[in-house]
Amino acid sequence: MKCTEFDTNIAAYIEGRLDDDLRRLMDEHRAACPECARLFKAHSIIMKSLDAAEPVSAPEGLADRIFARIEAEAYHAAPLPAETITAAGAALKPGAVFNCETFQENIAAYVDGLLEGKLIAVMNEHRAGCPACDRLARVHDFVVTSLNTAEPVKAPRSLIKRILAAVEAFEAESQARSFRVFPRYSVVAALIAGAGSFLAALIFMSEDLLKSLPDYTEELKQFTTLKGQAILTFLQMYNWVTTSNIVTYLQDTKKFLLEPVHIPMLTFAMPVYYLGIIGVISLVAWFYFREPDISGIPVMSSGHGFHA
Amino acid sequence: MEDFRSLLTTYQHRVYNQAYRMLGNVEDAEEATQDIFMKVYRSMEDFRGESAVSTWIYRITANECISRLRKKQLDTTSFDEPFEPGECKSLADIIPDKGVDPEALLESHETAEMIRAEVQRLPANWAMAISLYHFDYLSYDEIAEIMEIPTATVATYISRGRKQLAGQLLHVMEK
Repeated sequence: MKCTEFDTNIAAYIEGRLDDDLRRLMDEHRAACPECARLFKAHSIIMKSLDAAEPVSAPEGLADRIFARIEAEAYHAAPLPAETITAAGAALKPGAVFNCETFQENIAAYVDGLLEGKLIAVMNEHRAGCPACDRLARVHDFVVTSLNTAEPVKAPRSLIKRILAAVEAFEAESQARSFRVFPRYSVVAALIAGAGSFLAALIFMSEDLLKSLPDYTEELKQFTTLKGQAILTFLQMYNWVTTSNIVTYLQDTKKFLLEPVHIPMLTFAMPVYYLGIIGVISLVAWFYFREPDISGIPVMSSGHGFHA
Repeated sequence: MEDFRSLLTTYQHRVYNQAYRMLGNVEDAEEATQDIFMKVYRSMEDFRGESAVSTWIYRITANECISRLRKKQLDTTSFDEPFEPGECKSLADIIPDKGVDPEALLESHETAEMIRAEVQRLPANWAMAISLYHFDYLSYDEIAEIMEIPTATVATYISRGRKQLAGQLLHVMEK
């Protein structure tokens, strides 16, 4: 066996991967050749050192970066949209003049490696003879490399906590506001609705109440209907506001009687009831359709020792 | 809340990376990231799954970053002061003073970092397209979906943006 053969097989020899015949030849050569014996010893020491080395973990996120880079290269190698390569294709048409302007038009796709083989050859040829375009290509290449080799910047660890705190504060504020607002306005709404309902009930019961009066007449009976009550309410309010005496006039003309006002506040029941209903609907609409106010959310403080 | 926490954990670095690359400093990037995730939280119920979750989050990110970058560019130009993204000075401001061989600039890490910072001086839409393409390795189609523009427009934005960056570098080298 020659020393070169020993050298070629030494790794497999140390690792015990040789067949018996070759291993025997290696043994014999090693015993006969001091140089190769030293080589064997050196290799053995190196192998043992390597085997004894503590395993080192890959940096955090290395796999992600590698996969991202692989995906990026795959994406970036994808063909450009048809619209963008039209100019490049036109440069190859018979009779087309390829000059510095054409070179510049195609420089982006050229640097990205997205041009067809023929056009790449034409670009290379032009570049070889034109120092200005060669420099342009190198500058573009540098720009692309600079952009592609930007190290991803990680968010500071405290940021995620601050965002979660802000979201929790927002959530808590929203809930607090809804609980705080709802009882206050719901009580007001309930009072208005209750008062309106009470007065409305009085109107509906007014017929029975009026019938109990000693001077119940047919003329008075008309006021027992809802429509009659509304007319009377209007007339009473008009009388009250203008201090005229229209109801008394009507009474004098025997058309109407003033008796229904025996029921306290009855004549104001209808407008109050309607206003109450409108008020309740407005409050409910305001409560459910209002824009949430986030002005109370604490603004995060920035700059906690993290630097890109 | 658990869904949101999961989204936050998954996308925080990518969103922050975009915000940082677009806005150029830690303070603005953190503020933008918080606003973006607040918007994500508030609109989670409205998300109907018509696009991928990542596209939806990137869209919110893109809108926020474009809006903030435009405001930043407007604010700085309105006071007639040079726009200084982050702590990086302008390419044209620094390089000529160093007396460096122009060709050596194309080997310099410092120049590369400045090129990256120069992205913030581009029109906001160009900057966003370049940032998504080069800094987050998204495809033209994905960027088109995120920015809600045609794919050809994405290619145009990226191409024009890079030409402008290259033009600035050439200008400095030829000084």
